[in-house]
Amino acid sequence: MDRYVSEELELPASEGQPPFTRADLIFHEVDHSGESFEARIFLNAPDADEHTPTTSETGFAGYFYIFGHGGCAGEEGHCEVPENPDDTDDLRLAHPLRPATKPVVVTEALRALTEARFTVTVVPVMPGAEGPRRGDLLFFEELELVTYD
Amino acid sequence: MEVEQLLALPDFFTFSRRIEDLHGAVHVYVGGRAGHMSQVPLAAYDPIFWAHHAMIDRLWRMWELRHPAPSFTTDFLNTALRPFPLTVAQTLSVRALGYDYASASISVRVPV
Repeated sequence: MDRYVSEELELPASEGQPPFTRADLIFHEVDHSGESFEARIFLNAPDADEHTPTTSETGFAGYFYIFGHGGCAGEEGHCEVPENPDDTDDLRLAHPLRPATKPVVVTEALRALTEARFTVTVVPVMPGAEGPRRGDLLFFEELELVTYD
Repeated sequence: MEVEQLLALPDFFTFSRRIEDLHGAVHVYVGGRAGHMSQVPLAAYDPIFWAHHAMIDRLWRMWELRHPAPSFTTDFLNTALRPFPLTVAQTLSVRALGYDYASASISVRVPV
């Protein structure tokens, strides 16, 4: 996808509880078999795009990077990730194309929210001499918010 | 600034994920949309790749010096690093691997 906008999420801390000391957005099963890109993350900015300034005023919360493989350069099957990658007796490194987990610390941006409900927008951007360009680059399975007391 | 924050991280696995991301940022911004540096199979053909990875390795060494007793899991230490005949545990000391980085340097001009 060329932009992801989450459903509304709710801050887990309720009234009377101490504020969280740290908050992470964790992106699970992020594909990195394609092109490289920068994923810019915004809170409560569903219209954010590649031209939106990455400042706290726009809801910018952080970023992660995907150093992509740029497609498969080998023969058929060369880049197929084998099944059952969680074999605990296999001490070899995981297949290089196994999807990645990308945690992003968003503590300050989350603290700056004035409402308990918010959305997460992720804009995948490729930098270039002509300026940033948004692309159909972002594929992941799950987004998780983790806060720490 | 980001490097200082990186080196201050006390937990190895947090440090590991963060340095991986900083590493990726350099690949993305140097390679751009079509350059070798932004494509995994081609990146090492760009000479800057080697300077970049030497810097990443140096940052790892600097982190080790700041955090001399990090906590690792046994599974992590025993992970085999094929195709090399080494495990993670056998790569933790760069001196055992036969090299090291200067932690600081200073130079002065010699009058002629």
